[in-house]
Amino acid sequence: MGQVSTNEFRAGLKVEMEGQPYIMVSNQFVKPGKGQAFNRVRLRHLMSGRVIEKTFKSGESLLEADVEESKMRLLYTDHEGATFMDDESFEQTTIPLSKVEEMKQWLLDDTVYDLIFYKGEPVMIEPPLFMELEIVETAPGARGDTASGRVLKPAHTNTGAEVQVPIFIEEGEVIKVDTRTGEYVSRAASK
Amino acid sequence: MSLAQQANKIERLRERAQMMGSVRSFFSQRDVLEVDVPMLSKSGPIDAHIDLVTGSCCGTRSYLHSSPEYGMKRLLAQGVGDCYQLGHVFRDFESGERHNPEFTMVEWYRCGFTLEELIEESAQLISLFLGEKTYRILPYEEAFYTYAKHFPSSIDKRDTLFADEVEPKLEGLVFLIDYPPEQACLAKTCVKEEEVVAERFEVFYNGVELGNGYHELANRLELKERLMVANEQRLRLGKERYPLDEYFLEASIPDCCGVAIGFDRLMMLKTAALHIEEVIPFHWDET
Repeated sequence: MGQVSTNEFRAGLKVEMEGQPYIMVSNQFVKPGKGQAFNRVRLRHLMSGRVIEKTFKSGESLLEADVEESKMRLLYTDHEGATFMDDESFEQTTIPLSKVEEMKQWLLDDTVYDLIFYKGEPVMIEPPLFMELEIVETAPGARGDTASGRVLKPAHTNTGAEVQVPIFIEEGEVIKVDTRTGEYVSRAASK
Repeated sequence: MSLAQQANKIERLRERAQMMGSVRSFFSQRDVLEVDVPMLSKSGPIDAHIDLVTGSCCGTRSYLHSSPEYGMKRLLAQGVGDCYQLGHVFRDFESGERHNPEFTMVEWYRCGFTLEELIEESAQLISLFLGEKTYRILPYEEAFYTYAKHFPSSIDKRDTLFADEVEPKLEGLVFLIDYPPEQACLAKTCVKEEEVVAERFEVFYNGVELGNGYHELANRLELKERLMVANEQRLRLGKERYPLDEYFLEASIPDCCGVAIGFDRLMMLKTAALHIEEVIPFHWDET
């Protein structure tokens, strides 16, 4: 992994600072007419998601982070963790569930995820932006509740996520969910 | 680019052409002569933090000017009198939302003007674009105490603190004056309330830097000294030193004040553009 200098900074760049991997969210070039140029960058910690702002003098450089992404299909989840397989190389990798606690609610067998590896170790699972999930538990919707507009009720999906759904959604139905916000989008297109 | 975007861009270029015309008539009404000194020279302006675009001409290493300052001052020494240049200047590695390595600058010199008179005239020129006629004058150090609560002793720290805490809070049209002598650049220094200050101003509109003006340093020995210091600073920063412009150093300029204002920045403010590429025909990235 090489060094990247301020004039190569751009959003999306993955860099390492104090042994931690960050992704560059934005990069602003600042140059007073008389005075030193610098770059004001916002960096998001790859695992924690925490965003920090840092200022670098022009010409300074950062170490590129050893980060790789690959698309892998979830085979199964058990007490050891979630086991994924690369559809092309058939290579398998198991990620302990303790490492992906917040992602657990979006793990569905046979779904393809973006896995992010830092120094060869899997550190993050990115679910698809939208997932189709089955409602396994929700209270029946009472007729007449809709008069006041869009009324929502809690429901549980087959992955264990709790999603607020419109009252007309029944158990057994498949819905489309936005995994970034955990919000209901629509009923899934019938297959 | 969509058809709507193209139409919008052509509209902005029309507005740009119109404003170039307004700037020219602003100066012709005031009997300030338009000049066009060479952009391409065998030497160029020396500044610790401004890198020149270099090339080759007639087999000689050549530089595109980062400001028409040296050429204009040679003309002043030859008796041209009040003059302005509206044209392109070049600064290497400067690219971003408000920067393009090639940009348009309006620079002018007024013989016998005080810095206050030049501030007033700069505000009038800026008002052609922004309509805003009122302005505030604030000493540089006071701006730090007002908006950032302290004044760092190192220039590097001042620059970053200024950009982070002070500049964004400069609302309306603001002229900063009384710079510390170590930031005099090519301005005269004077003693004000028992402190040495540089007779310099920088002008900002709603947190955007627009220009920089000096009561011009005329002492040739001191000038040479400052250029050599800038070159030494460049060396310490790991940058190349630039050749001294001997023609410029031999020129004896009359007592005058000069200012350079970024034309594209004014166009950005006038049209509420978020990126400089919206107000110029083509950005360097697309050339």
